[in-house]
Formats: sequence, structure tokens, C-alpha cells
Amino acid sequence: MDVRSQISMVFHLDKCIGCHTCSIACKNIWTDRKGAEYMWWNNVETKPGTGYPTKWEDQSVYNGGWKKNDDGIALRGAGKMRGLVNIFHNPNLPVIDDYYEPFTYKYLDLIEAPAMDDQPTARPVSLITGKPINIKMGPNWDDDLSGTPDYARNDPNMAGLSEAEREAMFQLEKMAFFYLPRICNHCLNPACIASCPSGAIYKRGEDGIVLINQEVCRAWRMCVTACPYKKSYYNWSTGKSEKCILCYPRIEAGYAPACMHSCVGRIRYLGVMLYDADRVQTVASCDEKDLVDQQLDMLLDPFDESVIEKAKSNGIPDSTIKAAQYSPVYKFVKRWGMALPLHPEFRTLPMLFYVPPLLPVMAKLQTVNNDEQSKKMDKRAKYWPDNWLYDTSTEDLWGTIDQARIPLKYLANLFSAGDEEKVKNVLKKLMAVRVHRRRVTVGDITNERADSVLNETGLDAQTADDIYNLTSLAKFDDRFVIPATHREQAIEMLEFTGDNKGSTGFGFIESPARGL
Amino acid sequence: MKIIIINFFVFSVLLLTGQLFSQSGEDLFKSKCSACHTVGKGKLVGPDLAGVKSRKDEQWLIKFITSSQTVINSGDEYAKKKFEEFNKVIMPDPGISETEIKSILAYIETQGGTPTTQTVSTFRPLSESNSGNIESGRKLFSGEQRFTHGGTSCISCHNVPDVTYFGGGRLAVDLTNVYSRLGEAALVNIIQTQPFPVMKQAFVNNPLTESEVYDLASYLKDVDEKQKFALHANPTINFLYSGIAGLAVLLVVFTGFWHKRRKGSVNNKIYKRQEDFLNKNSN
Repeated sequence: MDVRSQISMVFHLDKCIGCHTCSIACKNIWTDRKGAEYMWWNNVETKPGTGYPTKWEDQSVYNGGWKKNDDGIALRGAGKMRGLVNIFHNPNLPVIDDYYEPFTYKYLDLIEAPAMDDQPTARPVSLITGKPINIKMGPNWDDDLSGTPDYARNDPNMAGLSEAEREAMFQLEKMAFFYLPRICNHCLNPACIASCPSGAIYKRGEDGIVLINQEVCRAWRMCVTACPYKKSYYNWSTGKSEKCILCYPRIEAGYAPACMHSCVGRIRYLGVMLYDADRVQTVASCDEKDLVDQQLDMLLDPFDESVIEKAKSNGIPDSTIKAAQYSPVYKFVKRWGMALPLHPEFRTLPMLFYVPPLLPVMAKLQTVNNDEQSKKMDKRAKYWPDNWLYDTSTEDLWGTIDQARIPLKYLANLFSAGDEEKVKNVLKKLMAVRVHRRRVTVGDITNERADSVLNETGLDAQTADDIYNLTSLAKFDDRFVIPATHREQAIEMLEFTGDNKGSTGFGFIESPARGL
Repeated sequence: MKIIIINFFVFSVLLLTGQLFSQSGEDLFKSKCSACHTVGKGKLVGPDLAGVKSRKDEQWLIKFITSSQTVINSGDEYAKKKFEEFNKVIMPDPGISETEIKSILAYIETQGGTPTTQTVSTFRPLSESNSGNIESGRKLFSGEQRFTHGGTSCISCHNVPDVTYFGGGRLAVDLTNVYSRLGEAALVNIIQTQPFPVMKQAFVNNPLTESEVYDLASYLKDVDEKQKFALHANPTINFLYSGIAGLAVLLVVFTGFWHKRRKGSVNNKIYKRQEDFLNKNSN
């Protein structure tokens, strides 16, 4: 057992309101530079939708991630031999139009234009060519299902859905969607690292953050192809690839990453996970149906004495082990089993987990007769004579999950490599917590009914309250349990800190005339 | 002090012009001419020079020796005849002054004798067994084997058809038919003494051994004989053809790679549908 620590994350999709504040926080700090304008290390997608870059999940287009073969696994579009053959002519790279051409508006024209007959306008200009452009695409162009026929229908996760199910999803009055915020998953088996011919990408030993060394990167762009989540981007100005750094300067200082810190819905949780590095290869190359279970099994119990002992012998500091014990991620992923990795079938063992959304699943449409109500309306009033009802009642509990408006198959394609049972279990737990809390706060549900719901999902009232607390009431320090990085130890390995003792403090920029 | 400087200056000028240590006619003849010419001993590469002054006047001789090709090209009948007679071997310009030429001519005159048309035979005939190894000659020519004293291999400047596919150097003459052009005696002599200025410079500090000379001569003889029956390959055309073939191969390889490459953006289809829709509705 080779115990290592990994900074890991949970995004609670039921809480995401799709405001893109995370994206803006990230953009303002990291990618508001020449050559990086098109990059969104953090982006929020509307699902169903094609995402950013368009159709990133469709590996028949981009050839990213790992593929199982007879010997284990191999990179789909990169790797030793294929990488060498294509090294000057990487055939699977996304082009700028797969992302979008970054643009800005000539705002100064609004205030500096001379007096004219017409109002001045701020024309859009490309941030690449500097010339006026006709905007065709943006990083969240299909936000809130705008342009649905073009985008949602092209969602690769629709695979396996029947024609009727698809149609049901797109009928305007039955439209349902949710948001999927994405950052780098800081995987345990990263395809980007495996693909890099220069060895420029590395996974930090102390916290597992995956970084690109800007001084070693030689712009081969194999990582751009290899990352199945398309979270490695090529900066055309510096000639280096860049990716999410999980705000490591902030983490080292004890702050949450900017996207998480700024999250309006407080959907993001961050904490340490201990895992067994010896098992990475076997887990990454196991059968597709076992991938999620095996990955969760690989994550270790930080309270287990033998795990603690092995962790200490591997040099993991006590503060990190303690952080792992308090980790909200450990609770969601391991203890409660409510969070699943995004697209485990890419076999990179992503360490960003998602609590799948219940809301669009839970509600259902009922046909009702609103004529009586319509007659009461004033003739001049503006009203819509609808005869349907968006019903979120909990009478027919599991029935609504089974006949979900977003087919379970769709969520399963996203979070469990197509295994509907796993997604269903999580949704039932989410529902059970709601039923339990409704009993506590509203009181219109009988104890028998609430208890039977809890029992069926393997929860008890105490756990349900814990889940409720961490989901709804969690404070900053509950959501982000950031271990000390102990940079001082790293510095002490490189230099003798006593050298500077007594040499800093108050001093003079210019020596005083009287001398010192 | 002034006198010393002036003396030094005069000394330098004399040294530079070669007046101070001007060589005797005999020395000059031995260093410049004897590789190809004899006096009264018979033909070598060039004619026997015994009594040359009686055949042509001194002015003509000086002109010819200074630059033989100028005289030949000017249409001088006698010069032309001799050039043809001696297999069109160009006599290199020796780069010596008129006075030196005169002293050489004086030396020849003192030697007297009568010219013979007999070819001198101071060498072992190549047909003699073990006088030269064709195979090691080939290796020496192509540079596969180094000369004992480290001289430049022949291929650097000369070409024969069978050395390599792309042929040898183009700096000096093609040696394909050199054996039949010069004859055995002259060939061995030239290889041995290198009478041509550039060749002389190349080998002045790295002389060839006797066995190397015979190996090379045997090889060149062999090349010449084989050439009579072989199709003459043209290395320049080979270059062109192999270039075209290489280009074709590269294009095929590139096409293979290009075929697998993503073409255009996945968004193009979406853009197109939207544009088509707008166009249809605007009409």
C-alpha cells in the first residue's frame, strides 16, 4: 500500500444556479492575458448541450483519454508510438472554432465618438486578429438551452436514449436542464502527463495538483489531444500549454481556489483524500462496469490505523491526515456515497466528484384543466391558458425517479459510465434527505413513511441531518478543509534558512551619513 | 637605424619577387617540368624536349609555357597538333616568370641530345602480376581506405562511374577514360608526381606510397576497360530522378497523415445550418 494525499473536490449540482461567477473569478485571475483569452480553466455548461469546446465528450472527434486494450490501457490519440508519428502534425487537435474566437467590444467608441446623427455603438472585435468580427460562438453559447436544436441535440451523452426519450427532452414545454461546472479534474491517472513528449507536466507529490512546467513545455500539444475533458489549452502567444492550477498559490496560503471561494450557490467542496497509489494501474485498466466502484474503493479511510501508519511512513504530515479526516469530500464520496466522477469511462480516474442533480429528475408534468382558473382572470390581463402543471409533489416517490424527465440513462452516461443503478441510488439518497427534512420542518409526512424511505437508502435520521447540514448550512471552513502545505519544509530542503537569520528586518535603503 | 630599415625593405622586396634566391634552370626543370617531360629520354605525358629551341623560337616557347591553352585556343596550328597528339592533356600554367622560363630553356639546351618518340619505361607495367591491386585501388579512390600519409582521397575531386551511385567530385576532370587518354606511363607518373597545382598542394605534405600509386593506376585501368562495355550512367540525371521519386514518396506519406487529420471545426455544421436558415428566410 502506497498511501498518498490528493486535494479532491465535490461539486453539488443540485445547488448550481449557472451564474458563471466561478468562470469570471478564474478568468480575472488567470486567463485574462494575450493568447489565453479563449481559455476557460473553469467553465459552466448547460446540460444537455454540446459544451465547450463543442462536443468535447465525443472522443470519436477528439481522440482523448485512455482506451482499454489487451495489455491494459493505452492513450487513444497520443502515447509513445502514435505521439512520435504525429509529433509534427498532431491530427486530433481542436481548432479555435471548436472553442470560439475570443472577442471584446470597442467600448471606448461609445464615449469617444464625435457628435453624429446616430448613436455610437461598440462593435465587437476579435481578440486574435483585432479586426471587427461577426460573433458566432462563445464559451457558453448554448447557455440555458438557447439554440437547442443545434446544441442540445448534438450532446454526445444522448447515446443510448430512445427516439421518444430524446424528443421528450426537447419539447419546449417539457424542457429540463441543469448546469455542469467543470475545472481540471486533477486525475489520478492523467492522460495529459502520459502524453507529454517533453515531460513538462507533473503531479505534485504533496497534494496531487497537476501542473504544466512553463519552462519545459515545448508546445507539442499532445496534452491538448490527450485530455478527454479538454482542460489543457494551448496559448498561441507564449507557445506553451496551460491548464487549471487549482489556484495552488492560494491553497498554499490556506485560501480556497478562486472559483470555489466565489461560488454563489456554495456548491463546491474541497478537501484531502488519501488513496492507494499502488492500485492506480489496476483500477484504470479494469472493466468499464467496475470503474466507479474500483475507483471509490481505492480511496482510503483516513481513520484506519494501518492507513495512518502507512501515510506517515510515506511522509504525509499529521496536519494532512487530520485534514483528510475532516474532509467534506470524504464524507460525500466515501461515507455517504453521494458523489460520482464525471465520465469515468475515460479512465483517467478524475478526482473531481459530482453530486448528480435531483431537481430536473424529480419534478414531472401533469395535465390539468385550468379553465376554471382562466375564467376568473380579467379579460385585459395577460395570461397563458396552459393546461399543464410542473409537479414537484412527493406522493409517488420512486416513481418520479423511474419516470424521470431527464432520463436516468442520460445522467448515467455522464457520471457512471452508463450504469443507471448507481445514479439512481444517489438520487434516492438525495430524495430521502428531502423527505426526512420535510418531516422535520413541515411535518406533513408521517414518521413511518419518512423512516421507510431512509431505510431503503441505507441512511438514518442522524446521517440525513449531517447531509442536510453539509449541503445547506455548511460554513466556509466546513466546505474547504485545506491542509497546510508546509512550504517551509520544502524551502528547508533547498537552503539553510539560518543563513538569512538576523539579516532582514528594519534597515536603510541608503546608509545614513553618520554611518552604521 | 634608417639604413637597417631600408636594407630590410629591399631585402623583403627581393625575397618576394624571388630574385634573391632565383633557382637555377635545372632545379626549376626538375620541380616544374620533369613530371611530364624528359630531355632526350623519350615521351612521358608530354613530348621529349630535347632540342626544343631548334623547333620553335624562344618567343613562341615563352608564350606557350606561360599559358599553353591561350596559344592553343588562339588557333596556332603547331600547338593544336601537339595538343591532339598528346591526348589533349592540358599543360598547367607553371606560374613562373619570363626569366625563369629562359633559364629553363637554357638548361634544356645544355643537355643537348635528340628527341625520341619512344615512351620511357621507368615503371613496372600494370599487366605484371602483383604490380597493383584493383580492389584496394578502388577503396583508396573512394576513401573507404585512407592513404598511408593521410592524403585526400581521389573521390573528393574526381569522378569515375562506379564509385558511388551519385558519383564523385566535380572539381577536377572525370577519370573514366584517363587510362586510354594518357597511357600507362603517363598515368603512373602523374599519380606519382601530381604535376597539377591544386593536386600538388593537396599531396605536398602527404605523398602517396609506391604501392598506392600502382593500386590506383590499376584501378583506373580497370575502370576504363569496364567502361567500354558499360552503359554510361549520368549522376546528374540520377539526382533528379531520385529527387522526384523522393518527393512522390513524401507526398504519399503526407497524404496518409492528412487523411487522418481533423478537417475544420465541429461547429461548422451548426454555423452552416444557421446561415442556410437565414438565407432561406431573407429570400
